[in-house]
Amino acid sequence: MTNIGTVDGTAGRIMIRLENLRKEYPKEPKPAVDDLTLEIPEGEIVILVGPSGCGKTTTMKMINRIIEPTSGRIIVDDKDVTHEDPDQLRRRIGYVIQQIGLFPHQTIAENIATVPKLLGWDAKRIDARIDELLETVSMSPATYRNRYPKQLSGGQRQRVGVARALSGDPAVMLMDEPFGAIDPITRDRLQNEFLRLQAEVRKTIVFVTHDIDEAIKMGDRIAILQEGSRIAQYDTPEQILTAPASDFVADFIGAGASLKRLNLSRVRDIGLTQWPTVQLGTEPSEVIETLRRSDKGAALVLDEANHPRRWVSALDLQRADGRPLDQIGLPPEAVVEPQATLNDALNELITANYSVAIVVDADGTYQGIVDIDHINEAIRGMRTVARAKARAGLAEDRDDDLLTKGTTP
Amino acid sequence: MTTSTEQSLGAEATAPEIGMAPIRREHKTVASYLLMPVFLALVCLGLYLYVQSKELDTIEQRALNASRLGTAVWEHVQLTVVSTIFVILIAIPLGVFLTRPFTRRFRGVLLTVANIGQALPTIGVLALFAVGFLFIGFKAAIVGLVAYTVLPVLRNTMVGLQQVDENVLEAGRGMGISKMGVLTRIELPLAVPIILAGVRTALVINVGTAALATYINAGGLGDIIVAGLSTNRLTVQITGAGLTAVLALLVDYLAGIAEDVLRPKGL
Repeated sequence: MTNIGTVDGTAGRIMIRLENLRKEYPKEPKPAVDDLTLEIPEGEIVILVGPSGCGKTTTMKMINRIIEPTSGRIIVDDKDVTHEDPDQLRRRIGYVIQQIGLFPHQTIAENIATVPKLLGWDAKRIDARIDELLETVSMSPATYRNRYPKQLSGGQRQRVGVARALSGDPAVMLMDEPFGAIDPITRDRLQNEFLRLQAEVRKTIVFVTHDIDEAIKMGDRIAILQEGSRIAQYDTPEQILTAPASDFVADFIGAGASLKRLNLSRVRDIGLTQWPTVQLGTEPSEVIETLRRSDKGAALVLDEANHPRRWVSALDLQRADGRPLDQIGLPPEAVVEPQATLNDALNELITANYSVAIVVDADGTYQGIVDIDHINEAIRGMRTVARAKARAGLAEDRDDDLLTKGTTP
Repeated sequence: MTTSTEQSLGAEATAPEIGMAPIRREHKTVASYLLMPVFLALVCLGLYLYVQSKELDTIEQRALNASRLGTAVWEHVQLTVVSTIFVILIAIPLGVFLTRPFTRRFRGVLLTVANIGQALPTIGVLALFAVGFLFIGFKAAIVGLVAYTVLPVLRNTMVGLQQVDENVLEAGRGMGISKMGVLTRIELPLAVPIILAGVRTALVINVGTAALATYINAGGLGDIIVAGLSTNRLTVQITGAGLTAVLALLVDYLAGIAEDVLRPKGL
């Protein structure tokens, strides 16, 4: 059985390439990592995810050779580093572990300065770098530079850990469950912050987690690993959620794959439906006429700026007694913006009147609505596309194999 | 400003192994630093007044004069300090060596040897040197004292190094700090409080045990005590014993200050 995770041509340059990597431990019959070949494209977050004991951490730690491979090759930035001096190698690779491991007897500034000092930067440059990084992770240098790790909260320590890993401006970062030991609320915030940061710095990141939800949220690409670090599927989160390659993958994603999938698409990605609308000040008879022409039970009342103001049903109009439109009916709930995820939209519309979410742009101008059928349709559409892609991908891989066999020196 | 965080975190466990000398953690005020010297000065004054109040005979006068006592105290200090220096020079490098992964195989054997050193009564060791090898005087006393106190420092060095958080070491190695760099810049500084607690124990043990050095003609306050015992002069015995006790407390006090000063900030 081959154990190969390659990426198609649409991905960027390959930054890290593991070739037939193998790790055996004495006294253990099965290898921890079994002949793994994996390509990691530049500038992406690649998540290694799998059940505990699957070899994902071992795999990651072989990249900076904290764990030495038994056989195989590690190529980082087009350079074979399998036999390079590990200390030199590690200074070029950022490293964040779950327990962070800040040096308790050094100040935050000293902690961050570790790698720049090893790289022989001059004091001025190091100083500037410390301030820059603290700003980057939203910690005021003036306040935190001279504090000690034990004076920080867990979330702050994690931020310093990330800043320290970035200090030597490495092209590659390895992160071993970096947000694993943090409370859920702080974790969510740190994940978002980290994604924002990554959008700026565009590092190549190998990220280990056992949490599939974190993998889906953080990953540009996910490698789902089975025992022996065997790749069950290596693909984008969308593809993995919509077209799991095997029962193992489907089981690992667990129930609610479709719901998770909703986190990955946004309202703007699916076409909006229209709904009967009337302007504020329209005659009640005209509103009733509009309602009669549609099959809906209520019309959405918009003001002059096209901002949604009110839901008005035929019954409301009958009981209006001459009151204006904005004083009858119900206020508009479930208003979302186009960048909201389908998950947010669904969440809103479930509890809303008439089971629809109103979509407005950033100014609050009415754009259309999203309803449950619509989301349903979108999911089915995505699944079809993903399956087609998966099939095409398989065919392509076969072509690739032929090609590489033909051209390998 | 920072005290609240320090207090909340100061409670974390710091003594992972039984038998290890405890580390003092509380922050002292200036007044508490003065307490011990004042107490010791009062004890010395008390001893002085007690001796003054007695009619001294010629034997007592010969034992209890300033130059005799001064010499004894000085010899005692020398025995203590020199033996402790040797203990530090032997036990700390040995402790470092024995905590490296490649020494796992003979770790047990060397610890047993160190244990034997402490299990033997020092007086027995000194007698053995004197009778068996005619090895007496200052050097012999130093050898006996060192053999006796290597263990606490060795054990504390090992515990101190072993209690350093694995993750801190992995982070250090993962950033490309060399093995030697991790040892000198991370492991040893983080082990300092526990190593110093061991050294402090060794110092205090040495002050007490150095009183035995008189039996192999190595001087010290033991001279005074033994002189008092052999001539049956209680005043002389009390003075010798009292001064030994004062010296032990003083050494412990000074070592405590050294601990406070040398402990890395941030711990």
